[in-house]
Amino acid sequence: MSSFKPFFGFMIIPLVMSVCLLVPSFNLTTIDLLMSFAAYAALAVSWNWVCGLGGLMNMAHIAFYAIGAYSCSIAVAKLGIHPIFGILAGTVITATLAGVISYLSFRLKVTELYFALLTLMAAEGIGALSRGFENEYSLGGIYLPFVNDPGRFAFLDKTYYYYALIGLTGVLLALQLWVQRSKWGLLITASRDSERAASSLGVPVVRILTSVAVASAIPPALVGSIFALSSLFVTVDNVFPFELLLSTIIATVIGGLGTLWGPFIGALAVTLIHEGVRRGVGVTDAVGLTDMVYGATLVLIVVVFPGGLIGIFRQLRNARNRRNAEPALRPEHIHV
Amino acid sequence: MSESPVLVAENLTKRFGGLIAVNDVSLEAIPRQILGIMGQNGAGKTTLFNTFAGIYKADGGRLLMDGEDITTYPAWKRSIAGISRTFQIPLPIWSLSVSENVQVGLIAHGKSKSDAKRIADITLVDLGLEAKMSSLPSDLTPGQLRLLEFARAASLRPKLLLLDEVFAGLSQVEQRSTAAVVRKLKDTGIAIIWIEHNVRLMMELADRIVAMDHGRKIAVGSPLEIARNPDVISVYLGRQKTAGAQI
Repeated sequence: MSSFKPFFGFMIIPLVMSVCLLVPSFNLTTIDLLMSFAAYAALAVSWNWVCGLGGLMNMAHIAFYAIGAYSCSIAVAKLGIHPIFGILAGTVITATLAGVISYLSFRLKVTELYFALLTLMAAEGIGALSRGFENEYSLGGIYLPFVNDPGRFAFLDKTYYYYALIGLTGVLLALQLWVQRSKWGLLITASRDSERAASSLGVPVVRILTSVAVASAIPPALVGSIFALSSLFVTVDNVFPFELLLSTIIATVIGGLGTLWGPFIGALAVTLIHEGVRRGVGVTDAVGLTDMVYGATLVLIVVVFPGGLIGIFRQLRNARNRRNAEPALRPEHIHV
Repeated sequence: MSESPVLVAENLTKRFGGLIAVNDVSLEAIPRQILGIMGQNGAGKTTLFNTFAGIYKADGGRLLMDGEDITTYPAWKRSIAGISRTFQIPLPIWSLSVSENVQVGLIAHGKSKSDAKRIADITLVDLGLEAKMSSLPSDLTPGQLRLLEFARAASLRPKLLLLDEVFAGLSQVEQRSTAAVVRKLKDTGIAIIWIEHNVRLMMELADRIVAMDHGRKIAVGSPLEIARNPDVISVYLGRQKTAGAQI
């Protein structure tokens, strides 16, 4: 059984991702909704790395997403080069930025809520810079050419971008599973739970947590790049939506912070609840009823499942284990 | 012939604002010796430990490890250099199992995952924690938490082991098994510096003792010399009652 478990863990990821890839062919819903889900999933899984595994409340995730979108769109629309260069530039910039912010924060002992504030200010700063850039050089945003050129990642059918996002999510989940079972995973947990104990055992806490922050900054840049390629239009207002950061955090928390599948399940829940509420009450949304019902539903989930939606599966597994552990009382077992 | 010291502290000073917690303390830790540090609450013992371990930066003086100046090293680098410590109030990593708690340090010191598990399990068996290997630290008694602290530090086979009241709260049986492991570690060549309030235990186990008061080193010597030192007696029993008093 124990040798089966790791194998099962790695097999379940491609299995779930395959099911997700099949969904568009059933034509169950619009591709935009699926793309929202896949983007939330990739963002939530990577935010879970920095917050759930590393214990760092990084609010600059949205800025990393925007940097990815901008670098890709500038490469394509302004420089006329292959988007891969923009994508690579975006990942390098976000990784460097995350590394610098994290390293300085640890050195200056800026932790917990102050770290959240610092990263929020960094995101705001990048947002202000982007706005300034847009006003100066590209009034009205950046438009990408509407062409079908698969060699340059340009598809008229958005389904391919959904596939890319789901594939990215699968890779991120596999990476997390691998890290959690590696020596690195143990050092990350120790660094998160007790900096003093970990460092006294020889763990370079600053280096470990900085590496987590850097690793988690790359996926949002990739998601941002995919967004730019699929939407063909990048402006400050559509790459800095605060609700995207909120949805990422909500998906992670209601799914199960620090768990493997929690953020993925949370992303699915956030997408379905948001869409369900929008369709249910959206027509009468004169006073923000959609947002109120959406918020109330999320609060209800947090209250009923404080450990996240992933807790449902754990409860079911524990109940099954208890059932298996209890010996059945049969008449032949009773001796008088 | 005594061996050359592993750790040399030269005129170490640590201040917290106007309070001098450690005042110009010099001492040496020698392999195969247990150096006890005794003193009343607030004497500066734990601050001295934290300055050795890199939790606090020294405001004055130097720390030499095998002749290398480690005064500015961060805590993790001192651990890699060979200093291991236990905490007075146990600091387990709550979300990791007992065995994983021990494995963390071994992995940080470059051991493979399988080696780390093997060494961790041997150490825990030595300390009588074999039944708790897979448990979380929250399932341990206060005494077992202290043993876990000790297991984490001892498993690293350091050059210098800093034990901060590691016997406090242990049962007689646990004290005996822990003392046996301490002696075994000492015999392998490790230098041990040990803070302890239990004076009887210290007199029994320590090779040399440093007595501290208000951040200063007031005496150093063998347990017998310390027991007869008038300064130590006056600190412990008060100046009016020193005549004929013995610890």
